[in-house]
Amino acid sequence: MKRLIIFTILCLFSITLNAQEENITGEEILRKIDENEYYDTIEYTGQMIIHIDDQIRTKQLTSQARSEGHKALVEFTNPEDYGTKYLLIDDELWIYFPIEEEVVKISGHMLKEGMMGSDFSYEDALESSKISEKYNVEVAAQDTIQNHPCWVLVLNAKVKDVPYYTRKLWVDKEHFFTWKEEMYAKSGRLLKEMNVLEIKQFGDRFFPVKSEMVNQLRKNSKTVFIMDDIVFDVDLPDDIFSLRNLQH
Amino acid sequence: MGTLIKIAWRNVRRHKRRTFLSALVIAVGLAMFILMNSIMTGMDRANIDNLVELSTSSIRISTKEYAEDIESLPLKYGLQNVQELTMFIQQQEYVAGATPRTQFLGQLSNWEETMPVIGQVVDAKTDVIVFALMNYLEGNYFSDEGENEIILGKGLAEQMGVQTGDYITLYALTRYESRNADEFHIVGLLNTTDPNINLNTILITYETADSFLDLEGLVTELYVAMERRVSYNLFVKDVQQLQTKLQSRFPELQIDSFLKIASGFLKLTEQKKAFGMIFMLIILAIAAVGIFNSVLMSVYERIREIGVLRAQGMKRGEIITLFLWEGGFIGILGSILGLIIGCGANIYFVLVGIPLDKFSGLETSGLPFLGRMYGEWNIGAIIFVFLFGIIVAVAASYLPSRMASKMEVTKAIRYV
Repeated sequence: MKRLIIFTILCLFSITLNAQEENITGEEILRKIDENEYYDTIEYTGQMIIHIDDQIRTKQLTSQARSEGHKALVEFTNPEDYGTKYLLIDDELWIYFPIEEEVVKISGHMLKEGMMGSDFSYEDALESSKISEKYNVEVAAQDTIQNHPCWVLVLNAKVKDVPYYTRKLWVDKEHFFTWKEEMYAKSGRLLKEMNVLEIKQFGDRFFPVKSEMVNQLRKNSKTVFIMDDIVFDVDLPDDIFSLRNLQH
Repeated sequence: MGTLIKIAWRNVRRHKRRTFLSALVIAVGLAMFILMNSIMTGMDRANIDNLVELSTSSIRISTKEYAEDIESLPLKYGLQNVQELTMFIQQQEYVAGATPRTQFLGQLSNWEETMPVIGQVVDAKTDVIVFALMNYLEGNYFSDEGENEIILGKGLAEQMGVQTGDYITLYALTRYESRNADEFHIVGLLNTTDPNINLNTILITYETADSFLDLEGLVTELYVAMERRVSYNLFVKDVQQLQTKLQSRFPELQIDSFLKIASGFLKLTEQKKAFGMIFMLIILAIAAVGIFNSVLMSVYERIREIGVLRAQGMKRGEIITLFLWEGGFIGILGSILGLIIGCGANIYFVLVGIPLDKFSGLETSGLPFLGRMYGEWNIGAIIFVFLFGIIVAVAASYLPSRMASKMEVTKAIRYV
């Protein structure tokens, strides 16, 4: 009898947990993603491996970023682009070209272009965490990716000035990071697909360190982005993220 | 003087064969000049006609903000009151029509590869009045069926490996800079004389673009076609007059004529014209050498005759004047003959033209390689070359006749 009571209590507890889990809203999932991926500052070295047909080009870079003010500085270190720097402050982007010793501000439709010829657009890199302001979020289904149960979120644009009209996110149920994202045009056509290939744990945080962006408009066109030597919450002086520093 | 002219004319008539051969040399030179001038002027005009009929129209109207940022073809500076503007334009003299267009940047994808394109949103009904694209269309024009229809440059279609009847994906940013891509049915291909259209351009209608680009009726440019005039200068005058009128009526708008829109191309045409002038001068120089040679020979043949005239008491000056008149008569006869041959042949070039269909390798040159190229009348050049023939013939007579008149009478009579 005692065993039966314990079993019943456990069952009820489990049902309650499941019910709570099932009732989670899309907004809450997005908030939890932000919580998991949030950092004050980050520093890393990275690689962008651009695949176009049979050609592969590799870009190496170092990056420092600060969440507050949405600031980032990226410097390319591979021989072809050595010294090229990107400065992002909020939703504005400047590029420094070392040969011309010139700073160019990127704006308008240029932000939609591929970054350094990759399948990541400047806009993909620029996007801040205002996503829930522009989209209606709905938990559409549950799925499994690499044996990890996921929520499938469907984001439909509330306003017209969004980069993609519809987005589909596969979010890890346990650790709240995005395994996969599909980006759709207004017509409903799939334009891009982002897949996370490798996740690393940093304390309580689960962070994607290797991902790929597949351009669905071209055959055999994708870019793999790898982050190495990641250090979170390092001390970064604020003048790193300035136009003056960009030119030095 | 009257007697000298009569003798000169009689001499010209008496030596029929010599006169004919000398005049023929002049005539051939002049006729060549008239024809070459006609073809070269016609080629320049054809280039400008093509430009106006296919790309620039006569006048383009936009907002000033759009004109400043035209390189990026922004979808944010629309014209207000397009209907009112169109009505006003259509009431003006020599206006053939007006049509709206909205340009945008995009990419074509066949799911294998992508190609950057310049998109033109057109009004299917009025666009054909302003632009002559129908003359170069293979396949069909837009139907009223409301399906996503697209017309591509033929070169572009070849690069993408598609043809009329196939479907292709067009990718572009909407008016709100959101990405969109959709499948379009290729109804026709443009094989024009403008390589930019053939290789980079796609056309869709406003009905399609309203949904695809979220245009909501946005018109960024209004194009105006003026009636073609035989005289290019008159055409330019018409365009400039309308431009001034529109600018004073709508000072807030940017009104550009084809002279500004295609200023780079027109400068190039002017440079080509300068090279053309050098070519024409070479033709004239060859003609002048021929005329000199012919008249010179005819004077040398008659040195004994000059000796006889001197022996009969004719003065040196009179002899020179006599030969100058003879040279002048030959020049006039040759120039008239040259005008008849040149203008006669030019009638054919002006009315029938030269078929260019068979010319290959000109597809990317920007020259009109399709259809026919027509000659142009250049009255100034015809008058010039007519006088040129007479003056050269007179000049060619002067030196040998002066030399012969200076010879001793006995030497001149015995001259072989």
